Amino acid sequence: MGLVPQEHAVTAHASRRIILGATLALAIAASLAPLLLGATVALTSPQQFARTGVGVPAPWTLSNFAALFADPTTFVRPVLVTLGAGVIVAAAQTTSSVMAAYALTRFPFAGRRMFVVVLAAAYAVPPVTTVIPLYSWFVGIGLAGTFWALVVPFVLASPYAIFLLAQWMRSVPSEVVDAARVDGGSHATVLLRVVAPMVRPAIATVALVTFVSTWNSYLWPRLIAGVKLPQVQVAVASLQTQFDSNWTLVMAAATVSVVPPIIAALVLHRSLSSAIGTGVSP
Amino acid sequence: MRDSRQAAAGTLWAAPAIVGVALFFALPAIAVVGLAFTDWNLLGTPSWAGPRNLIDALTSDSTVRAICVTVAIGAVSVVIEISVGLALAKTLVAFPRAALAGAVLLIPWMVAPITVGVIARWVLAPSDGLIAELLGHRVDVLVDPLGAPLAVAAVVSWQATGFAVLVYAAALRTIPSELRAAAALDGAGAWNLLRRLEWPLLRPVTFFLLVTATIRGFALYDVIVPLTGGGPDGATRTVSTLIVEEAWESFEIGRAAALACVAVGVELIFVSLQWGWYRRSTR
Amino acid sequence: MRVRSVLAASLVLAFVVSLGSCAPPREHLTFRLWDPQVAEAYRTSLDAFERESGFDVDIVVVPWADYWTQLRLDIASGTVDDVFWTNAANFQDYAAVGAIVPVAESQRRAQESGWVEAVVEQYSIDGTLWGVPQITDPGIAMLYNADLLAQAGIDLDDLGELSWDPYAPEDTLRATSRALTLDSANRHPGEPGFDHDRLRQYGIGAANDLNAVLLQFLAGNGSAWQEGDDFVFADERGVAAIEYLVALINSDFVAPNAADTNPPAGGDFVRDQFLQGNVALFPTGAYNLANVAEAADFEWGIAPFPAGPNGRHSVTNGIVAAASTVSDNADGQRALLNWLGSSEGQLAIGESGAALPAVVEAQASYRAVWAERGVDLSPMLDILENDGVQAPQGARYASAARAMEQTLNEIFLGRIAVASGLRDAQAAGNSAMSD
Repeated sequence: MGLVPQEHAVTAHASRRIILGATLALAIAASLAPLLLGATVALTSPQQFARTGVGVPAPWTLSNFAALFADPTTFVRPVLVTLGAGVIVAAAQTTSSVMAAYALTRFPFAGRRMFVVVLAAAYAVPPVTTVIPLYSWFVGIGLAGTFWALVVPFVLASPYAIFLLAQWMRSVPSEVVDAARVDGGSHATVLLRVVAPMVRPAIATVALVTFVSTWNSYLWPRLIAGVKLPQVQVAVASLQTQFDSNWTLVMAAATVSVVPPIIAALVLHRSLSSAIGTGVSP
Repeated sequence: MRDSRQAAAGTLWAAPAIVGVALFFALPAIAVVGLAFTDWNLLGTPSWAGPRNLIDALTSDSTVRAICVTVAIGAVSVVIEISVGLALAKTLVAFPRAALAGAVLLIPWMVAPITVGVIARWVLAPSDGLIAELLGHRVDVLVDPLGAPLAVAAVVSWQATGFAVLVYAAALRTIPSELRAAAALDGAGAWNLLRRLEWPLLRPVTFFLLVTATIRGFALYDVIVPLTGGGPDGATRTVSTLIVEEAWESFEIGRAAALACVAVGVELIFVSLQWGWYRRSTR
Repeated sequence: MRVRSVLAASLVLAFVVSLGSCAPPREHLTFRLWDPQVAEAYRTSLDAFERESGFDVDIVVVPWADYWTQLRLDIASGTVDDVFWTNAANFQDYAAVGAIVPVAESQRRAQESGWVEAVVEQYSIDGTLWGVPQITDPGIAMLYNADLLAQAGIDLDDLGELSWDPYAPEDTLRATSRALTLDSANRHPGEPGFDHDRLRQYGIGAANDLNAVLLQFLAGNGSAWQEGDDFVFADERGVAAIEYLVALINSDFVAPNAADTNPPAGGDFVRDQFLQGNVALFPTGAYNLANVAEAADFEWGIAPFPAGPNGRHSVTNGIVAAASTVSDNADGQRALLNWLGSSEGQLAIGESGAALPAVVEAQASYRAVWAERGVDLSPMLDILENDGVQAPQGARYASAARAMEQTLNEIFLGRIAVASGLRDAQAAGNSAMSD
């Protein structure tokens, strides 16, 4: 028995770690490769790409981005519109979700069960279904093609945000809340001064996820504002159909489009991990 | 007394969300059910059509095909997502200092499905795509009736696995180390550790991922548009793609609404099946 | 707190951005079309209009691939532009649902004599004219890459004599195309070791392209796409013509695989490959001349469309500017339409060479521009002396086309038999037309 099994154990452990490490590296490469390669194409001149295809750009060039931004209506305007919409929706939706989560966790209000069920249904039902009547209503009111049509359906409720925030708020000990109330605080003060600061990571997470979700949306902006006020994803899709083989230009648009989500992923990873972790631990 | 005041206050606090959900989900959802009984082309007024659209939606070939496509793509991608996700989660947990790796794996999940579809289209384009270039010859995946849905499933998995890694890793970290130590003492190897200890404890996560994948599968539309547009002859026409086509290319609102009702019904069936599995397995 | 001020700043930014998209003032008009080069020419023309009339006109370019779905959506939502381009295949639909207004009698009296008669006829139903003629396409021809022809040792004069015959074992079109097709190892089709999966140069851009290819090949063999509103392409001669095309792609390998060229995604593949110097013979119309002149860095020219057993025939398409019923600026709309139908309005279009105006007086400048550039347009014009091909028409044409698209795509992919596939497509198209 002696030393030999120990040695085996050590080398087996080491080689296992190498395999695991390699697997992780492979997964990281697979996650990043399409995006990085796309960015490489975006930095290649169209002439070089037509001649030699994908490869190290020699020289690196920003001409594709220049072409993309040359006419502001092609891409600059969609980016600005989406930024604006994203900020407004994130701010408004987070606020109302925080309020609703607070209500869910602190008040025994009638219809609470029903509310949760409807929220779950709203989460589960494919958006393409509810978009049909929503579209005709917005058209009927005359809001088609306006900025507000892009924003209004989303400012009030997000099932996902409410559930996440409620999860976190439940973990705030009720003694803390009760103490604050006894000190003469109204619910608004309690929420603002006591509870919200304790769940700040969740609030930040929700705000950023909502922003990204608005940045990523396609179907509703396409239908209700299509050409008049395109959002960034509509612009990307439209560029791809218009310039099908002109991959350098299309990839430039795609690269710009993935920047906010990438930043969000890197920033949010920690808080998402703990936010979701509290929800699904066994 | 205090309770009713509390209840009133609660409703007030939740009011924006309640109004939002009622106005932008519940009301449209009811309207869709109503529209399913009409004929309408968006110009003019809807006309009553009785249950004809619903019967058509339930029995037509294209509906059945769309559901099969949706389920097939969803099944393939969820199997990849769960197996690869769990494997990577275990790997991640073994390297505590590699937290950034988890963040990088999450990037595909955050990127917009439309952009992912555009990039995937470049990768898989028949003659001038990335793979065609690397291989030196034409790639027929996107026009192949079997290859196209598999390609879509691969793209969906690429996006979804990072999220699975996130939740599995978070859950794995909550398994008390005493349980692991006990299992190790009992002589459990890595495989048995997974099967006997971790997998049962991770059932809530797996269930959560299954339900999320089902919801995502039935809503799958954005990725498909730039990548295959519905596939060679409908091979990647998911349920949502079919509904969008009926509503906004053929302008048959009644038929689209009926399809939507059928789709939600089928989705509910799948979710309850998964719920049943979950309940039975945790008894 | 920094967070607060960041939040406040971004809210202000968002608000300001949203202001920028508020409703425009009443003197504002919008004009929609799909061709970016012609849009540039319109900009010049409309700048003059803005100075003279006091109305502001915004030109909105929607890419061809999205144009018709977007237009239908915007008509349904009431947000369509005041004036928009439409082609013959779609205008009947809009007329039938009351989305467009016919051309005013006063304008017709004043300007109709200056318009190309064929376009007026194409857009008239029972004496009512539904749009102001803007563009009239010359016929379809073949653009060629002179450098590739020289490399293959092909004489430019022979191009004028190219012919095709679906009933003969060999013809000059196939032979020439084979000589112009190369795989990555520089082998021609038919040579040992030729790999059709590694094509790097295509002899001819044959594809499932109705306007540039199908209409002409069907007519060239004595068949037709439509007679009136009925689809009639599945007769024996039509089947032979399509079989010939499919063979070019899937047996002779002288054209790109349909996986690359099938609509809707592949509509521009042949054009883009031609611009990159990879296609020798490119069947297309004048709508691509400006593109090619701008972007091609090789010698090119125009050759006649190959002659079939029934000779050479081409479709001509007219484009009109239609007036939306829901415009909230009737005066401006009328003024704009009058401008667009006048020879001064059209002059800039002709002078740009981007498209042949449908106002006769403005056509001379178009021919002059191309003559100056050393491009001989006669193959596109001479073909019009033969019997013309009927352009697609019908109030439900768009949904008929949708009903047939997948089947036609499968035929060109070589996955279903041509004869039965065409019969099925024809039946589906005709049933959609009569719904």
